[in-house]
Amino acid sequence: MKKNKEISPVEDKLIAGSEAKPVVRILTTVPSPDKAIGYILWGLEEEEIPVEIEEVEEKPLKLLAKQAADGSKLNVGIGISGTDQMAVLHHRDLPVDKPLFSMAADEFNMTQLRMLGANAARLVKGNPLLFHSEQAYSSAPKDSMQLQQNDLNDLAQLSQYKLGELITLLVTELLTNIERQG
Amino acid sequence: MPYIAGVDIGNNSTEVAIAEFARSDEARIVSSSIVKTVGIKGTVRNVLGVIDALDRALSPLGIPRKDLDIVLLNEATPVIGDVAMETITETVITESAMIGHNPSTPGGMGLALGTTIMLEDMASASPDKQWIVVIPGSTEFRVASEQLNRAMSAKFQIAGAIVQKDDGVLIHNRLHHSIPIVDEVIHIDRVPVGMPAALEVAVVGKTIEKLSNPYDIATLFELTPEETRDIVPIARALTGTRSAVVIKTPRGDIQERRIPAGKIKLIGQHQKVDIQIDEGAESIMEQVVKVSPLLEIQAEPGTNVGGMFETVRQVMADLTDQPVSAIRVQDILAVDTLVPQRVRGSLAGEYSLGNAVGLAAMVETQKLPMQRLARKLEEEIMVPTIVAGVEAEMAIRGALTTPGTKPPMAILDLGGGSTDASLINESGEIKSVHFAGAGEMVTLLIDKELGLDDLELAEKIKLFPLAKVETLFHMRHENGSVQFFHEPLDPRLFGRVVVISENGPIPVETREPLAKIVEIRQKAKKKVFVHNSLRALERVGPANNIRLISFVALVGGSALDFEIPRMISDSLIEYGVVTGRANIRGTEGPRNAVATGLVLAYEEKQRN
Repeated sequence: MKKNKEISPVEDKLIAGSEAKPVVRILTTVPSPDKAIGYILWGLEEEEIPVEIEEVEEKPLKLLAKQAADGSKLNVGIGISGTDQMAVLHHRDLPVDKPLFSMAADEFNMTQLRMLGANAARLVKGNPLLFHSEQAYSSAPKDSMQLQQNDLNDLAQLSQYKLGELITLLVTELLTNIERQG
Repeated sequence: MPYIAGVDIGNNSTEVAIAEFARSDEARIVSSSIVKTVGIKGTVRNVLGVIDALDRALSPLGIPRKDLDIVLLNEATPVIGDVAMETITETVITESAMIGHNPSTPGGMGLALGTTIMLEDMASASPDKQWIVVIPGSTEFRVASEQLNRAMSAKFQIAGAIVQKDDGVLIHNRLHHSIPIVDEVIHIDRVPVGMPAALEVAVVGKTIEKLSNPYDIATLFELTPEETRDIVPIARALTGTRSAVVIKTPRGDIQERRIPAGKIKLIGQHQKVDIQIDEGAESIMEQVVKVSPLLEIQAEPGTNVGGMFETVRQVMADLTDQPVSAIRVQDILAVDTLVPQRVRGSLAGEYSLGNAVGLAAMVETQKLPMQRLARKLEEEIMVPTIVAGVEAEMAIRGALTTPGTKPPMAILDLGGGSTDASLINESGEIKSVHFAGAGEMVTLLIDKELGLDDLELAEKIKLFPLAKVETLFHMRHENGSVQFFHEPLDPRLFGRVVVISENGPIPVETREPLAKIVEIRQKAKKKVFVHNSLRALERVGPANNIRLISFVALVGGSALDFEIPRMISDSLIEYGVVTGRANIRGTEGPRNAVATGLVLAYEEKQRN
């Protein structure tokens, strides 16, 4: 298991040779939202897929993402804009106006961006994609669901126990009352 | 020209055959139809389905319903079945002591041995010991890796780490020294600290080697032979995973507990036998053969099987207006299966395979109230309606219209609730039997073995082939062929195994690979249908010998299945029997046998 190549600084972009490498490409408008891109990179890194970033001039985000995908040897690209707080995940085989995921401004947070990165990587690997943020931390959605079920059962058992206690209390109370009245 | 209609009301479908009939001439079947049965067969609700089926068959002929001379109903086989599952073993961990799962991306690789410690306590740890560091989800991966690096450079010996979130690779990539890391451990708070632990991560494409072997675990923890015996369930549960942790707790007692699954009583003509369900399907079926012919089977109340027996008996009692006490379960089919179960007390939602026995039961009564149904139908459609023949006899008569067949011939009716067999010999005598276990049992087995908890999806997995969606534009079918699409597929299907249902692909939400699902599906079909076909044919065959049957024709809904007919034919080939799906009148396939038989039998009677 090799460590990922350190992400080169934005200035140090490969201009001509970049198409030769199998990477997911990220195209960003200037000024580049470094923090947001960082979250996307984490998602890709955990899935062990290499990535390259390039700054380009302002243009529609879908077009940017599509351009990134077209230029990627892995056919997967991301377009991101810090000014609009938006990111788009695209694939080379998809038409420009139909990207795989288009992230709205209210989703422009760490969890969602990291998931976008992970999904870019999963798209490359052919693994099922993530759709819920809770999945980002657990790739076994079924397990977590069952878990809740289990916890519920525990709860039910607990309340059953409590119920028994309650009934005992009630009966004792009633009996004392009867005794008093008698 | 008079017209007659044969109507077959089955458990699942209602079928009609319409014949043009002149006394001087042979009956000529001119139209047929099939609809879903409305209500349980034998009840007056069936009338709705029958009318619908009649209309569908009549409409291409342009004949109104009232022009029918007579409607012939089958004497439906009074058989219904139900299925249930009894779990026999489960793995219970009383002290949390193991993690074993397949996180998609663990960090590092190799085997680590040390004592568990919380990351925050590393500062006060002893430098002489090997440590396995526990990192809760509240710690960000950058902080975690920084602290681990600091501890390592301060000469603390860190052997491995257990991480709550999916951060294994991120942490690993930031460490100065590589260590194995198990991540996605949901219940990290349940990991006991200060305990000796072994941690293993396999390289991509491999599974762990040490922690799935009881002797390796014994070596690592210096276990006694007795302790080694106790660790076996853990080793078994960890087999096939990519990463695992075993933690030795003082009272860490893991046991494979046998759940009392209740017992059943087989009452035969000559003897009675009590048998515990946890003895497994094989010994149950052995006893069934020994005790047969069976008169009745009773199940212990309060168990799953007991409940299932009560349900079938109740349904049949309601249906026939008889007291429940008069209804008896007459056959069972038991099947051994492995069911994934959550390991109780596990830390990462692991499951292990528990043994279970699937059971199908069947009740048979004297007669369904078909006369009542016939009167009701007659009232509704104003056409004379009679109950004209016994289902099994009509079916075999219809099946004999299959080109290339002649008596002695047997038919196997592969239905939803029961598997039925009938045999007609050269002199025209017919013998038939009904056995528990058919399509519904297969669905139950698929559902349980895949841990789906979704019978509808299990039914689809039974009915349709699978495919794997490999890119946004193509999928590879289970037979290896590739299908391309012009429009991109739903991203939710991407990378998943899908069932190619009549309404398009449906994702199967399981981590099992396609090949495993195919294997489970095929095994379930074999366990139920092949097994039942053999025991049914043995019973009806001359001198109980399958070899003396020349032809076997498959009819019923499950005969349309894409692989069951081949499985049965494969197993019958060694008996030298010609086996195939029936082709009623050379046009209908395995459908319409009873309806066709009704019409033909009526014609014959009229002529004589």
